[in-house]
Amino acid sequence: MGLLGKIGHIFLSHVYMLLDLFGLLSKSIITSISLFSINKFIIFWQLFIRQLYNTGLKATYINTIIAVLIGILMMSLTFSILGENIRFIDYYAKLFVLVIIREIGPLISGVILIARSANAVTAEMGYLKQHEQLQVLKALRISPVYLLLLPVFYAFPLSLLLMFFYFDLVCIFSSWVLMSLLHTEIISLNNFLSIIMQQISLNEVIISASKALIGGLFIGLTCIYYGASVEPKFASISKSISSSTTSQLILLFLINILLSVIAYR
Amino acid sequence: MSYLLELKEVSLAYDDNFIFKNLDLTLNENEIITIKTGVLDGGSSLLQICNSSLNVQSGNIFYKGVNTKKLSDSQLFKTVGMQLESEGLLSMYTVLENCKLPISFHSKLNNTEIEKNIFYISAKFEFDYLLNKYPYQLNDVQLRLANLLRLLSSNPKIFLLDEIQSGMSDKLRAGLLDKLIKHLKEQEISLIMTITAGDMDYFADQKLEINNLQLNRHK
Repeated sequence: MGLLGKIGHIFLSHVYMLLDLFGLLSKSIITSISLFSINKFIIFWQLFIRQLYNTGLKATYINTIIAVLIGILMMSLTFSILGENIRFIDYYAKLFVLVIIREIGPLISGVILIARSANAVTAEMGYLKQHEQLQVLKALRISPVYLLLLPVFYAFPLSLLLMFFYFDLVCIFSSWVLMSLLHTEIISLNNFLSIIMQQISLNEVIISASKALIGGLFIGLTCIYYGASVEPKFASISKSISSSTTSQLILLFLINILLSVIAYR
Repeated sequence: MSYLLELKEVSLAYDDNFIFKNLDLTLNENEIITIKTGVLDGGSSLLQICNSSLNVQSGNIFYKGVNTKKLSDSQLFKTVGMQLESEGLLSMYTVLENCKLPISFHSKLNNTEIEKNIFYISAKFEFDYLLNKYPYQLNDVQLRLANLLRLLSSNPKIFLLDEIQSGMSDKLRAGLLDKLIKHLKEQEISLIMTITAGDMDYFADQKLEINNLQLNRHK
């Protein structure tokens, strides 16, 4: 196969994957109708809470460390340029919203979600597939979409939204702590927070939330898609995790940049 | 007259290799059929066809004269259930949770009622010790018993047991079959069981074997 053929093959495989993801998306929406049955909802709720705990809550630790470091980096870089400028806080607030809230926050939270949780879900799905447990569900007349996809479908976007919100708060706090150490003028945390909040428009809230929700949704769908593609072969799970991570990173950056370009042009 | 279960001219092939060709099978109410199988001759596949969980190349499956394609998942679950020979349990759940899941999914019974029924059945068959174990903590025989417990708790009209007797000691096998056959008679449940060499079949109304892509009477 020539170079052109290879490029064409890669392009087509991505197109097919996207079509499959939209297929999973519509299947998830249709299957969600079952949530109106009490017993089915209870089964879903237990799995959803477990997924939310694993994805959102357990990521707090790594999220805190990275957010603290980014907050310190942002503040020290800004301080090194502006120094004891009289309008330092106003400039910093603008820069913080522009860099952290608009771009870095959603991206880093998404990367953490992919590295910590999406890979784990792909591996879990792959294990279930290799051990023919999807066949078990078929024999029990339980839709795998209901039991395995729906909890991820709802938990991932919500987790990413919470992670993103938490990331911003920790970032604000850590940069305030560093600013208090560097700056001679003391500003209370409340004041600092309200100055940053004043810079955030409704448009920014909507776009950032959309990035988290759409990004989380596609990360979740992608890990299920690749997990379910696992074959009964050695190294098939690791291959799926690798392909899944690549696709998720591409999708995450694509969604974030596309939304930013559309909203902030 | 309609049978409880009927396979009509069913053909199954993997790639170009036929496992069954125009196979017919009927099961009446309260009837027990044993099917003697060899290695890789399609015993498990046949039960999966009876369970409507394996797609066939041609032919139809009927429950009480109704084509399975016309039945909902919940109707099928209440009609027929299968014990799988290997694996068969979801690894993320304990045996108790594995038993509860399909009943909870397909019925409107609350948790207390479901658990009460599972505890009753597990006590009756002396499977209590399995309930809080995860599948990875069980050996092959215990996995099959846990699968059977789930089926007993679900209580469909047709039981499909895949080599349930394999690996069992004579004492365990005799005790289990005695309780099982008694239970099936009490509950008016029909059974198809695949067996291998050395397994018991004294309780069967019909003894069949897989031969030349077909089911024949076993002598």
